[in-house]
Amino acid sequence: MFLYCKNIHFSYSKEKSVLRDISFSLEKGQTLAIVGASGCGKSTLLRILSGILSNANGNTLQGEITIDGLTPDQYRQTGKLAFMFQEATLMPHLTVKQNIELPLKIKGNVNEQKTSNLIKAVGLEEYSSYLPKQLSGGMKTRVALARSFSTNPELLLLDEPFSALDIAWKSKLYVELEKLKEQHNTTVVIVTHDVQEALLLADKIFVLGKGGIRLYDKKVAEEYSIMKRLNDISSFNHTTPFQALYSTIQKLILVDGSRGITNQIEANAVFTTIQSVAGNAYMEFWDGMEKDINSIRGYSDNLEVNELLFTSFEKAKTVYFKYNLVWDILEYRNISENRISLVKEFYLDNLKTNSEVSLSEFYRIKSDGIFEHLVKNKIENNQFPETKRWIYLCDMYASSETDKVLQYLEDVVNGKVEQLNYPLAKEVAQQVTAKIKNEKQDTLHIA
Amino acid sequence: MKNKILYILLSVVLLAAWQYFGSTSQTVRLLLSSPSLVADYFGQNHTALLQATQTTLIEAVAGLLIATVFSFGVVILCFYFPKLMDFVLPIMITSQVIPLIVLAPFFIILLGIGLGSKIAMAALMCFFPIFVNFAQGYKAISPNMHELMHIYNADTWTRIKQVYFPLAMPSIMAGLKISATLAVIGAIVAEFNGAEIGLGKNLFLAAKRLEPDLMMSSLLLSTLLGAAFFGTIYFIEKKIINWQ
Repeated sequence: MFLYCKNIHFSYSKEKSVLRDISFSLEKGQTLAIVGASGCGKSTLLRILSGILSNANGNTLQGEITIDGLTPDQYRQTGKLAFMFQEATLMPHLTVKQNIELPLKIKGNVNEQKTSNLIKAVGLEEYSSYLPKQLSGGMKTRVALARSFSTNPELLLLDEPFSALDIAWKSKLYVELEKLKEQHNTTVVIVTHDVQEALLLADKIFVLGKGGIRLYDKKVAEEYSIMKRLNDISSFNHTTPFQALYSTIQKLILVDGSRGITNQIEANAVFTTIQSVAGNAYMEFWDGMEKDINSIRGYSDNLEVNELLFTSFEKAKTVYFKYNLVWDILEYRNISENRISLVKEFYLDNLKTNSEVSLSEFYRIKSDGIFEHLVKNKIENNQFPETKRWIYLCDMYASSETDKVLQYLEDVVNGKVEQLNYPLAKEVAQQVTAKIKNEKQDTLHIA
Repeated sequence: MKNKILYILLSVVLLAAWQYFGSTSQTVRLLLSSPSLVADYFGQNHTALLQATQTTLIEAVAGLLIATVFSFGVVILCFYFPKLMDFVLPIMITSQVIPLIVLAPFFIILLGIGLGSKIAMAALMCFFPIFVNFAQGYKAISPNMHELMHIYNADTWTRIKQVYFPLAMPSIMAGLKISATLAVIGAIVAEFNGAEIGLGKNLFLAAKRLEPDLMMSSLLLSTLLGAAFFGTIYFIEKKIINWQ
């Protein structure tokens, strides 16, 4: 086995795990495509294979990696490794020719013939004396591709090298890559988020998710050679193996990946929208509640009880808005789990500083690591404090307008209240109804 | 082109105004002389003035060269020992709170009244901008470039030669342009504090003796010297960095 990886775990610090339990292998001359949503660790894996990332600098790398029997760093030192970045990474002060022969120059082994062959192979004979600033994006990528092959690499690692190019350039470069690869019998690992590109170029493919490898196909459309696929891309796109894998992988990336939320700014933007939706949806309900709570101030002669009631309402409202309602909406509107957990993570961080809710409560909930199940369990056991408050407040409401509340709750249960038409609201409404019917109290008991 | 004409016109107007007020006003003549008087003075004393200019030029060039070599040396040393950069850079920045010209008397005491103290002063003034700009230019190099060199197993000297120097060159040249004028300032300031010959000495004497002709001719020569320094570096920059 030329490239062998077993149980790779990697984290940049002790807290954040980037790669989990990654195992795969590759024969000499094969191409492996790694696809996945942005931020799933594809590039990190490539950098581990290249020896750029290791156990140093606070990183933790576990598992077994061998390339031709050597560790990545040992293999890198043999000079048989090449890497192509997302950007062409050309030396701006060097001409096309000088850029291509740079790796050879570093090795002290400049070979004019080899360089000119490579320039010819990527069709840049006329541009050999041009500087990078005089080249188009596609040309720059071609130079980078030629440079990668200048040292006759046995292993070529490609980090989304064609992502910035249009399909016309991509098609040309796929063929050039495949020709050079065959010519040098190079093993290729390509990282991409373009599923079509992966299926066109790969003998093996795996989908990387945050939890590890989500799908591993070791025989990608094996009845079609890669060159055959590239010679007639549009026909290959309509074949059954392509179609089946394409849709499966796309779905995996969309559902499993964190696609759409790749950074905190985006997560915040999503949250602002959701908050706004949640706010509008629930404000009506809470406004009504607030009015009635205010109107029943004085219901009790006990000022302390009234104050507690009001504080309790305010806190419940804050908590509900910032915490449960948003979560509820996320949970019950078919947004993927990963997306929810990402958003929640950012949101909870944000709440630590902004919320009226005690920090210890949030830390506890977060450290439980079972946030998704927590609310349901608490509701089932009637332990969830905010639900209890809500129930209690509804109970207060009911003490003066019982029939009206019961009717409203019945509407919620039957899905007639548009803003509350989701499972948790119905569940809570049912509980409140039961509480009102079975435990109607004459006196106030503030929890 | 339009701007150039405007600049020329402005210069002519200023010169004419200087000449007019220098000829008609005793005060202006005493303070600023006039273009014709300065030209006369230069004609009569050009040997001494050019000798002074040559001395200041030598001091400034030597200072700039020493500062360049020394700052390159320190930065290159930092490339070999990367942690050194984290140690050195804060010291360099902190050292800039010292108004460097106050060190001129110190150099006179240390190195005497000759060229040595002037060169030391000019070098000291030039060192920091070159060093910091080089360091910043290095830090601005894309991480991918570093990774590429790592993958190709390039040794430190190859990295310096192939990547660090060329890619940091725009920053280095920016630092050199700043230092070019600082070198002249450094040399002149050092000459103020005691020199046998030099434009700084001329300016110092002109102020003491109320010799506006000497002052203005030395001042103009200093300006020309600074501009020539800057222009030379600018020219070299245009020649070297044709890839931006």
